[in-house]
Amino acid sequence: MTANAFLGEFEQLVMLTLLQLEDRAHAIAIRHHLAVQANRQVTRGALYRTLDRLEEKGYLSWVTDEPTPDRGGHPKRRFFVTQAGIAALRVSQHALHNLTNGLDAILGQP
Amino acid sequence: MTTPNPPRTAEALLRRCVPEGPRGRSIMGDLQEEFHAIARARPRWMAAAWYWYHAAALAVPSYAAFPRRHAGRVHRTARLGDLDHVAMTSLLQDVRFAFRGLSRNPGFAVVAVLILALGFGANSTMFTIVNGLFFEPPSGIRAAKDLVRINRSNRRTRAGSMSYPDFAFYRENNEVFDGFTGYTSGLTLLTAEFDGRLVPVDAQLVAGNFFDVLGVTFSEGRGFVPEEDRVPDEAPVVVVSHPFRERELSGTAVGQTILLNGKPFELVGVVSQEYRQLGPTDGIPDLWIPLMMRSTVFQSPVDWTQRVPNETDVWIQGFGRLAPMVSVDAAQADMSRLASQLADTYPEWNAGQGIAVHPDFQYNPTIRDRLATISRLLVAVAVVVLLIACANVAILMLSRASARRREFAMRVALGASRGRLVSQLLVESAVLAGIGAALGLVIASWTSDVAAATIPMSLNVSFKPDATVVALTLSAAVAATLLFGLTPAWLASRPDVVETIKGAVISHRRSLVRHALVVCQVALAILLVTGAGLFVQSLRSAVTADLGFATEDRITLQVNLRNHGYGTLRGKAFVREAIQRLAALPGVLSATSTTRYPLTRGVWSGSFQAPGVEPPDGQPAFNSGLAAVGPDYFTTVGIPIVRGREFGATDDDRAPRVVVVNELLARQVWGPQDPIGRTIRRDSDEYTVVGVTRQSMYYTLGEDPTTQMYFAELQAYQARVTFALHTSRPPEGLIQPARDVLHDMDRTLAISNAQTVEQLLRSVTERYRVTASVLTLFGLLALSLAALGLYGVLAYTVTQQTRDIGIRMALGARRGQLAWLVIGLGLRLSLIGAAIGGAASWWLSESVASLLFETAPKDPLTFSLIPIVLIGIAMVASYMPARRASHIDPMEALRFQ
Repeated sequence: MTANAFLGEFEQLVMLTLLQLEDRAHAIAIRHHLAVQANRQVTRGALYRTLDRLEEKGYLSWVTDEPTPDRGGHPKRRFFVTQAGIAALRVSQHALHNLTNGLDAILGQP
Repeated sequence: MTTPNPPRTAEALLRRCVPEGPRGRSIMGDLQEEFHAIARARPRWMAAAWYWYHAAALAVPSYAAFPRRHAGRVHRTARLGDLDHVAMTSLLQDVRFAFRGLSRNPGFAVVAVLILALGFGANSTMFTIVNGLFFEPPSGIRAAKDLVRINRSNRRTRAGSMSYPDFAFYRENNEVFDGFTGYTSGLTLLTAEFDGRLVPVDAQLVAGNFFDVLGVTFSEGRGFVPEEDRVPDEAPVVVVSHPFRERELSGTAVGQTILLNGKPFELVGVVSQEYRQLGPTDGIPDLWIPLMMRSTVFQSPVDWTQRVPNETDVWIQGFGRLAPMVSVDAAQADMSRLASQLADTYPEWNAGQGIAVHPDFQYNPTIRDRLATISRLLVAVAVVVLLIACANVAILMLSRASARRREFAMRVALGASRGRLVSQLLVESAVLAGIGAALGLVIASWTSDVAAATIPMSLNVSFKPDATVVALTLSAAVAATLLFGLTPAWLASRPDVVETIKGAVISHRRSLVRHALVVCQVALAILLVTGAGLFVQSLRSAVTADLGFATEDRITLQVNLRNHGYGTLRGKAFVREAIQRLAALPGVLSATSTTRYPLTRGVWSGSFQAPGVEPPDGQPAFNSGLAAVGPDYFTTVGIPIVRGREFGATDDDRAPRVVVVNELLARQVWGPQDPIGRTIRRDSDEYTVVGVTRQSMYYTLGEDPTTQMYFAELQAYQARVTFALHTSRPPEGLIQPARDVLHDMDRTLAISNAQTVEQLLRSVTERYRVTASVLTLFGLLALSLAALGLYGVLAYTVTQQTRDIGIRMALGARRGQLAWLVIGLGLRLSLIGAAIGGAASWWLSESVASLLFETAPKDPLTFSLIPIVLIGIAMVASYMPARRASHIDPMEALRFQ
C-alpha cells in the first residue's frame, strides 16, 4: 500500500460510477449518474479536475470514441478504471468496512 | 430541421482555455452535445444562454490565470482550474488597491454604484421573473423535465382539449409514455359543506393517475387509485390541498365526509405543501375530484364516456411522462399515428384533428407564446436600462481616468506594463459592478413580485431571486465590467508620459469616446421613451374606448346553477324569481340576467339559417356570437335598441320564439331591408327578429366588429347565469344586499364575480395600465440617466476648456455666445442620439404591435413627441455647464492650470 492509495470521498464516488457505467462512462453520463444515484450535483469543472487528478494518480485512463454530429466533430472520451485504481478502491473500501464494523445500530438502514 | 450551432463567440472563448488535444476537444464536445439536447427541447435563445453560461463557468477559472499566460504561454497545456498563485496574489492586490482608490473618491464611487444598482436592479428583476416562469422546476413535481403537455390540434389551434373517449384511447394505446394523464384546466366553483359550514371551493377534475404521473407526495392519506377512475359515479372520493386543510379542517382530515353540491365525498388525502399547481398561470385548486365523478358533481345530461352523435364534448387537457430514452419528437410521432387512427375510425368527431406534444408542460401553448412575447419585451427594456447605466458609468470612469492621468503616466514611467494598468482598472470596474450587482439583487428581491404584475395574466407564484438569477446577474456584471471598464481602461493605460507629466491638455480621442457614449445613451433613452409613449397611448385608447354599453352604476353577480344540481325547470324558475327579487331591492332601477356579461370570459357562438337569404361564400349557414339574456337586458346593461323592442317577462316558453340581433348581423343578412319581423332558423326552431341593437364590444377590447344574436333567456335557458343590476345609488353598496338575496333563495349557492362593472372594466384595462406605468418608469429613469451623462460630459468639457473660454472672453466674446457654445454641443449630441434612437424605435415598433390597443406601432403623436423630449433633455442638461461657462472670470481662467 502506498501513500497515494488514499482516495477522497468524491474520487471514490467517481471511480465507483465509472465501474457502474462500464463502457458507457462518458463525462456527461458520469455527471448524470452522480446526480441521480448519489444525489451529488457537481459542476463540470470539478468533475473534469477530478478525472484529471485520478488520471495523474494512474487510477483511470481513457480512450476516445468516434465523434458524432451533435458533438460538432469533437471526440468523446470514455473513461475506465485501471488495475491500480481497482486496488486503491479496494483499500479504501476495506478501510471503510473496518471502520463501520459494529456500528450497524447507529448506521443501519435510514 | 437543421441542427443549431453553439454561439460562436462563446465557443471561441472556451476553445482558448481548454487544454490542447483530445482532452480539451472532448470537453468542448460534451458541452456541444448537451447544448443540442437542450436546443431540441427549448427555444434556441435559451440553449444559447445555457451554452454561454456554462462555457463561461468553465473558462473563468482558467482566465483567472491571466498574467501567467504572458509569462511564456504555457497555459495551453495547463489543466482547467489550475490557479496560478502569482496571479491570485496580484489579483488580491488589485482588489485592495481598487477599494482604496474608490474610498479616496467616495462621491464618484457612490454615484457609479447607485447608477449600476439601478441598471442591475432592473435586470435582476426581469431575470427573476423569466427564471421563475420558464426555468425554475415547479415545486412538488418529480423530474419535471420528462413531462410533456398534450393537446388536440387542428388548423385553428394547437392547444385544444380532448373528449374523454379520445383521451382514453390515447392513454391505452400510446407506446411512448410512462404515464399518460389528464385534467380540466379551468377550476370549477362549488359549494362544500362540512362541520355544518358552507364554504365556496375551487375544484379540479383529474384522472385517477394524475398524482402518480406528477410524482406528487401526500402529507396525509393517499392520492387516487386507478380503480377510483374506471366507472362513472362509483367512487366519491376527494383529495384536498394543504392550504385548504390548514384553513378549513381540524382534527384528522382523512376519512372526513365533505358534501359537494349536496353529494357526500370521502376525503382520502391531503397533498403535500410543496405541490400547488401545474403551471404559474393555472388557478390553485382547493380540492381534486376524479374525472369519473363529473356527472355526480355537474349533472351532465349526456353519457360523456361515449361518443355521442352531434356532440363534441372536449374538456380534458392531457399530459404525460416520457418513457426513458424517448424524445419529444418520438412521442409526437407516436401520438400522431394514434390521431390518424382516430380520424380514420371516427371521422365524424376526429376528421381534421391532430395531436400536439409540447415540451413545456407547465403552460397552455397559446398562453406560453404570449407570456414569451411579454417576457422578451421586459428583458429588452431591462437590458436597455443596464446599457444606459453602463454608458453613464463609462463617462464617469473616463473623467476620473483623465483626472488620474498623471498617476498612470508616473507608473508607466516607473515601468508598469500596459496590461498591468488595464487589469488594475478593470478590477476597479469589477468592484463597482460587483457592488452594483449585489445591490441590484437586493432591489430585485423587493421588486420582482411588483414587476410581475405587469404581466397581464394571473400568476399563482411568487418570484424571488435564486442561484440561477445570482449567476445570471454575475454574468451580466462581468459583461458590464467589460462594457464600461474596458474602453476607459484602454485609453487611460496609454498616457503620453512626457506630455502628461508636463501637464499638457488631454487628447481629442477621449472626448470623442465620451461624446459617442452620450449619443448612445440618448439613443437608448429615446427608444425606451418611444416605447413608453406607445403604451401610454394604448392605455389612453383602452380607457376611453367606446364600449357600446354603460359602465356606471352597474353591478354583476355570477352563478353556475348546473354546479348546484339545478335542472332546466328549476333553473328557469330560480332565474325568474331572482330577477324579480333583485329588481325589488331599494336603489335598483332594473335587474336582468345573461349567459355572459360583455368583456368577461367565455365564448358561445353558433350557426343559423335565414329563410330566403343565401349565406355568403357558399357557406352552409350564417355564423354569429350567441347570448341568452333576460327581460330588460338592454336597458339594464345600457346597450341602445335602435329598432323594434327588447325582451320582456312575457317572452317565455309559452310565447312565440324571438331574437334580437345587432346592427352588423342585420346588415350582413338582410342588407338595407328592415329585419324586424323576419325569421331565422336554428336547429329545428324558428325565431322572429323583434329588435336591433347598436354595435358594442362583446369579447375583448379592440375586437373587430362581430355579429351577435340574443335569445330570450326564458326560452333558451343556460345554467351559467350572470345577474346584472342598474342602480340609482353608488353600486358598491348594493353588492352585499344582492348576494344576500341570492343566498336567501339558496344558501349553498357559490357566487363569483360579484363586482361593479367599473371594477370589471378596470381589470380588463389593467394590463395596459401596468405595462404603461412600468415602461414610463423605465423611460423616465433612462432619460434621467441620459441627462446626467450629458451633463457630466458638458461640465467636464467646460472644466477642460476653462482656459480656452477665458481667452475668448478676454478677446471680447459675449456671455451669450459662450453659453451657446455649450448648449450647442449638448443639442448636437442629443440630436444625433435622437436620430439614431428614433430610427431604431421606428424599426422595432412593429415587434410590440400585438401588445398595443388601437394604437398604430408608428403612432404619429408618439413619434412627434421625440424632438420635444429631446430639446427638453438637452436644455436641462446644458443649463448648469452653460451658466458656468458664461460666468468664468477671464483672469482666473488664464491662471487655470
